[in-house]
Amino acid sequence: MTAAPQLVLIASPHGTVRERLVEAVGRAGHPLMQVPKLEEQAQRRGCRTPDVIVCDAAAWRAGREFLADYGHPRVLLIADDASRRRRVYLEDEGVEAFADDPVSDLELYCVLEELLSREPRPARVEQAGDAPGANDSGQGGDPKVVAAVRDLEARIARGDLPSCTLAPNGVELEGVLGDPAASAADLLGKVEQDPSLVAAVVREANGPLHRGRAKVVGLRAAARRVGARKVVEVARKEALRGGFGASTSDWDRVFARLWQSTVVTAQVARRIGVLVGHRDPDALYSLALFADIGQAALVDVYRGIGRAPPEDGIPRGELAALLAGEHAAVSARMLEAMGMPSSTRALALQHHQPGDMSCRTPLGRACWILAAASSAVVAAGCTAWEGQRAEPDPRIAAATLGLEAERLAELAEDVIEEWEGTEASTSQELPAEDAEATGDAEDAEGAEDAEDAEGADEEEAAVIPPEDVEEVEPEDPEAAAAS
Amino acid sequence: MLLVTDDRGLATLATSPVSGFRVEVVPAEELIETPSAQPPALVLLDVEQAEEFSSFQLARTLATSQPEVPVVGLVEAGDMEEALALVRLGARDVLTKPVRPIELRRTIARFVGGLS
Repeated sequence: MTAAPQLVLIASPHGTVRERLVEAVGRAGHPLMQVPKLEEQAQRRGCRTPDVIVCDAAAWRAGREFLADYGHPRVLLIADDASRRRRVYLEDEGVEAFADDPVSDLELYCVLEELLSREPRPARVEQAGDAPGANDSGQGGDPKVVAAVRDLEARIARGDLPSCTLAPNGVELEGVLGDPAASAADLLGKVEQDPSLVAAVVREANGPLHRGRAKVVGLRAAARRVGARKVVEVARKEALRGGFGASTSDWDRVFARLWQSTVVTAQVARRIGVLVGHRDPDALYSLALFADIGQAALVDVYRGIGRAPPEDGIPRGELAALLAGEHAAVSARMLEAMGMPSSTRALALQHHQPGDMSCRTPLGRACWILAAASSAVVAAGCTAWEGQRAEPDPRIAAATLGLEAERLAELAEDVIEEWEGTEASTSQELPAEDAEATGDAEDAEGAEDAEDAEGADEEEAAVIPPEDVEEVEPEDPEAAAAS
Repeated sequence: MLLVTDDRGLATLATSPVSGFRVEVVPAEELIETPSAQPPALVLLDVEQAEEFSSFQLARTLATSQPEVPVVGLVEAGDMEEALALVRLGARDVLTKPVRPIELRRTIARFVGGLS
């Protein structure tokens, strides 16, 4: 059945593309407007609000942040090769339909008809209440929260990445750097406890100095490429940038909870990787950290709009809904801004919904491993927020990976137990106030120790060339003194 | 019967011997803004209108608001793309301009009947 005429806004910086789209949409019988840039129309007052935006990838990239200014119309993207590869990611940004470039009249007509026959997708933050793990009391549609998230997205798009390193972790890092007995393995062990630090090192390894080389994802591969001296420099810079100003006071407990959940999940992902014979379990560890890197950014945003922290440090209600609904997308955006490979972004975006990915491809298998780890950790009771659901079902995730469900559950329980056991022993060794002040970092260290007990330490020591190891040790006391 | 055009030359079609029918001539833009209260027996829709693409918009509007009204498009000979676009939007047939009276009578007879 033919849909009623809808006001279509055509956007493309290229005059010829616009002309072609105007003809195709016009012949489809829809009234239309056209602009070279989305922001131009959004900023004009008194203009009619379009029902549908038809744009090319260039216009979308430059102006997607203005979508809300149009009241979230439906978006049809004329997709080039790159856009087709990023389809999942674009869908999350709000694109509802795709037509291949160059598009024919008939094709555009059919895609538009199909789009208009579907129910409109709710705006992204409003969707949070229905997202996995969302609590019934979630108020994801609060305009203040929506505006804050939109602002965060705009900042990320501009490359202004939020700093959300855990403060105590920065202190711990300095402690390792200042310890003459610390090895390169200790350094990497400390760095890998914090997604922001890992991301900074990996970003450096994929940066302009290493242009033309294959992208790396894992911390160890990145460390091998840049050398231990650079790891120290980058990690310290990142820790200082965010660590000592970002998270303070009551919110620390929220951050700590998220970090615990993230790091435990990453450890479980690494162990699953070993179990299923994945070729790079360490990369899985890093990928799991990256997948949740948006959580702290969202909490930071939430705190920034003046919301009170949960008394017990457990995100719930509105914040839980925000985290459940948005963290994967924000993680993916942050990774994009960091220049991470598209596969890493896709993993972040899909790590709670791996069903769209085949377990037979390397990317799909990695996604299922992350999903299984996350799901098993939640099922074992280590939740990042109240009401977080174990999705996908751990039994399905285990079966997909060829694991026994009981084995997966045991794995998660072991890692959580090791974490908690170390936390308890660390608390006993420290005076009460010290234990509270550094609790987060000590927790993480405990988990690392557990890993070391399995012989991971030896592996870590072996992954950096000896000359790099030698560089670290004499340099540390000086660096610590300088700081 | 409605002849939707803003072309004066084509409007002379209204004086063609289509006995038994009252033919009104209106531009597409006007019909979009003010739809006729009484559904016409047939709409002859000239694709070329002063307001670009308004004929297609009218075809879509009629297809959704008055789907029972047959629409016959009038296009320049050889303009396949516009003819196809009209058919996609529900036009029952397309005639090429200049329209021959005999062809017009046959078409009207086919969709409305009653003409000999």
